[in-house]
Amino acid sequence: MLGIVQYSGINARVKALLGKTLEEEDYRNLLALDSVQDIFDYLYENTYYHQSLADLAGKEMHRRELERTLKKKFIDDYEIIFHYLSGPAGKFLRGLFDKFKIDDLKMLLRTILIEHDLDYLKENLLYLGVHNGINIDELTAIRDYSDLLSAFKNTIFHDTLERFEDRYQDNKNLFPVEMTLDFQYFLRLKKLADKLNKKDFQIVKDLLGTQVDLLNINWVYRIKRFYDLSSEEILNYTLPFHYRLKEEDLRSLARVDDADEIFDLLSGTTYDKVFTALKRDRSIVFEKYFLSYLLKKARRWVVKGNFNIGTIMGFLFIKEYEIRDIITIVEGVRYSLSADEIHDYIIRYWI
Amino acid sequence: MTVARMKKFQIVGHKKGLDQISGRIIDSESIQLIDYSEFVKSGQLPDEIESLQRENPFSDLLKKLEDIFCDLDIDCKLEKIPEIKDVKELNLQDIEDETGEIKAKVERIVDFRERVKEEEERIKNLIHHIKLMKNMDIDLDELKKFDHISLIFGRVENDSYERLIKNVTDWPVVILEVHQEEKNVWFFSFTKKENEEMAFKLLNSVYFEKLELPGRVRGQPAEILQRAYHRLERIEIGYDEIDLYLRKYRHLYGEKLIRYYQKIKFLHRMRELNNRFYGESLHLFVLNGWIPLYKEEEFVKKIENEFEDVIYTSREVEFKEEEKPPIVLQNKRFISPFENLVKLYGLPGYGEIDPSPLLAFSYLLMFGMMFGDVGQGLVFSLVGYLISRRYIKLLNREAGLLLGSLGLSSAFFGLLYGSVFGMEDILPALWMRPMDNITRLLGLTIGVGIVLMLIAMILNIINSFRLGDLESGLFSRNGLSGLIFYIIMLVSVYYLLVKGSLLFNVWVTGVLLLIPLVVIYLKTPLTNLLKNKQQIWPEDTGNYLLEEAFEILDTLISFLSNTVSFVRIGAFALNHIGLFMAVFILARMMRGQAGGLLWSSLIIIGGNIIIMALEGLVVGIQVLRLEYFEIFGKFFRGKGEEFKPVKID
Repeated sequence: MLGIVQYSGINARVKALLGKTLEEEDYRNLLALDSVQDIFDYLYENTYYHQSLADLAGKEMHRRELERTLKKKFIDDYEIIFHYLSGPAGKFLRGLFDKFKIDDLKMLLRTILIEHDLDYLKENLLYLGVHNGINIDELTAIRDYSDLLSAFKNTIFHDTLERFEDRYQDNKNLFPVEMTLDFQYFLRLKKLADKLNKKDFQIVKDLLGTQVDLLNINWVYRIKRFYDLSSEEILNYTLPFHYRLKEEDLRSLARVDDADEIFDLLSGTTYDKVFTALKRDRSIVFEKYFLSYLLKKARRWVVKGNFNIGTIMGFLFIKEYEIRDIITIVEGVRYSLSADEIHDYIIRYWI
Repeated sequence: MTVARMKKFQIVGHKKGLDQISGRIIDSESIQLIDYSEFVKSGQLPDEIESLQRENPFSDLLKKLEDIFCDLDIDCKLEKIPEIKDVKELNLQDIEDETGEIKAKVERIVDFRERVKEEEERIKNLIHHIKLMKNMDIDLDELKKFDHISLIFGRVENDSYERLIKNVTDWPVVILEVHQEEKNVWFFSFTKKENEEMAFKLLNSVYFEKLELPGRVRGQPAEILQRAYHRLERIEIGYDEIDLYLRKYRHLYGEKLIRYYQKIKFLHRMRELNNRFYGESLHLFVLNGWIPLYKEEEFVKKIENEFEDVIYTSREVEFKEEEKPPIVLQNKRFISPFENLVKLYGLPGYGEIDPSPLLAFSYLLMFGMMFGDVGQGLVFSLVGYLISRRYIKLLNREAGLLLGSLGLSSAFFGLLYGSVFGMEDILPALWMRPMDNITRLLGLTIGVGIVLMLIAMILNIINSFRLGDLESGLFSRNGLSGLIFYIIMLVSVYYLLVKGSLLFNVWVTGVLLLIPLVVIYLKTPLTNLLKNKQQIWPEDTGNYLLEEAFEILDTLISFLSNTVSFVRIGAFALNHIGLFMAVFILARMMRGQAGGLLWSSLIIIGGNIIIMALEGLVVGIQVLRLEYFEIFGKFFRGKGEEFKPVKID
């Protein structure tokens, strides 16, 4: 009953937004293009990005500017959802959005503390300013770690940043901060998800649970293939949540001697599908396989999402990956890859 | 009914009057300025005009003042715009010097407070650690003397600690928890000397923080603690003294600083406006903005009286123009609460009809019909009144007014239905009792729906013509063709049901219905034909025809379903009575028991409250649904941008 009240308006809106997302034909057309400018023109003339791109029309196109505009549109979509949805679901989605803020924050840390590339920063910080009371200009004025702490004073990130202040000053290593930000993100999401109603929780659990499982497998696989760490260390680096892949299963993945054994252990599990192709290709860009598995799931929830959070969640995934795919195409074109080569990197094209 | 007409204006004047003009603009509270950079894009500029960029020497000073206010705990906002002549005679240097001096004094105290605070933290930290150690039965000094065992003392986040414990199973490392708090766990870790490196690696993977054991803990913890507590007391006294100083400063300088702040803040804001909105040539400035037509006269009169050498030009923006002004909704006082419901859907675009009056009228009508009850209606209005007067601090004023007017409508229909708190035997029904006239009621509600849908379609036709959208106005299902189709359909059904035969014979009726459908089917080519376009048929003709065929099917279904959708008005009116029947039956059942009168009254009161809360909410939502889906969907485009007048802050 409450679901009907809560979701009928926003779901109609989101479905309208979904209806505009790029279609198979658009991707085919985009892949056939061979300059960044052509891609821009195509998006401007043939897709719903028309309005967002209007300001850039007629100018010489820069890759980053395009990227930034696409992401801004995504923020607008998020804002619509925030506007319509309050209560536990609204809070949860705001929590979900933190992911992008954390990406921004990581970029901020790296550029400010290590590379000092202010122009890059000004062009690329987008998400941190959303509902934060944080002023982007203030962020670009940060010079050292203590500035950073005062800029983030009243945010959820402050505790973590503060915790690592001394240690960062000692060893200039950002890895622990970044990892902890991610951990905290998932912990917060878990808490927010617990407050959702039963159906919403189930949907969120299915999508994010799968995501976490895949992230964990990704970690283990990557470490096994490229680094030499003990299984205890590996497990400490994984996220402490488990969905279809049980804790003992992850433990045994972490204990294998050779990366390929992971595939054997996973055969017969839900995630078998994801890895058959990866095993065949031995591709380095394995992230793509995870993402396209998630994309499929997202699409399923869009269909099933009546009067629950499914449509919105599905949309957010689909949209995020659409932007990613467009950027992939742009970068591919920029580095003169052939259409076939780019094709391999696109999330929506499943294995 | 339409959104307020807007004028785009330009002011050109001598630069000396610039700040006064800005002041008047803020005063008027009804002007939105156009960024100079936007204005440049329109390309109607003579070359000698450039963006006006004046230095802003006030930001530092303003920042200083705000800092002092923050330190002295003074709350200050700019309320009214100061007289220009007061500001003109400002000696900035003097103010700067004076503020600087005061700031230095205040800062000395604040810095001192910071240092005291640091000391306090250090001592508290020490106390904390010593207490941690006190909880252990082990002699720490002994631990430090091991030759073959390495001891690591550290702190780690709670969640990480859990992971550490779970994953450490296979390793020759012992973790001993010392103390746990909300966020952190303190622990000792023991391992053989040769495994120390391995232990560190493991601990690092949960990002632990290595802590040094407090050196003097061996002495006498109690004595250390006592000394530390003593120092803390001294610090408390220090704080009191600091506070006294700050209060003294606030008393001495507060008023004067606030006076400065008012002026500086104003000047600062003026500069901000200059640099963002103004353009300049050698002696002149130029400024562009939007003003609602109905506010213009007053503003222009003021400007012309006050400034001689200022030229104000403006032009009214036509509805069909490419450039869309921001939207001002202009409604009678009692309709404005309903504007919020419109805004929830979207703002009307420029030239579109403002649906607020229609929404207000139809919302009240439908809500009253669905929830007609004198008693409950009056309760709603009372609660609404109390909210709007802020006796009840719930929601906001507007929502209170909304609730109040819905309550009145409900009470009005209550009189017509003769229903007071669900009791039907107190008042006579001035019109009819819904339960005794079910068919009539349901038929009537469909009638209401039909009228509203016809209005919506007519509004769409008006909107479309104003915006020059021929396709939607003439040929779409919500345009003229749709309207004709719907009317013919209604007439035919009416004759069939009431008179038992069609007005025209079957064939004529069929043809009459078919014509508008064919027009809808061919709407795009027809529009192209009308506009004398080269290409009549859309590029992918086959696809278009197929899509449109489905569209036609959808049109037929939606006309039917939209009309029937309004039956819910009647259904809820009945439902309202049905719920009460249940309450009264329950109450009657209790009457025979011991204390029956009390129980049955409680049930009636409780039932009333539940029905008011639950059904009031449901009916409110159902009506909103009807408004948005069946009515707004037909004519309301909702793409307007909000009008944002320039403000002082």
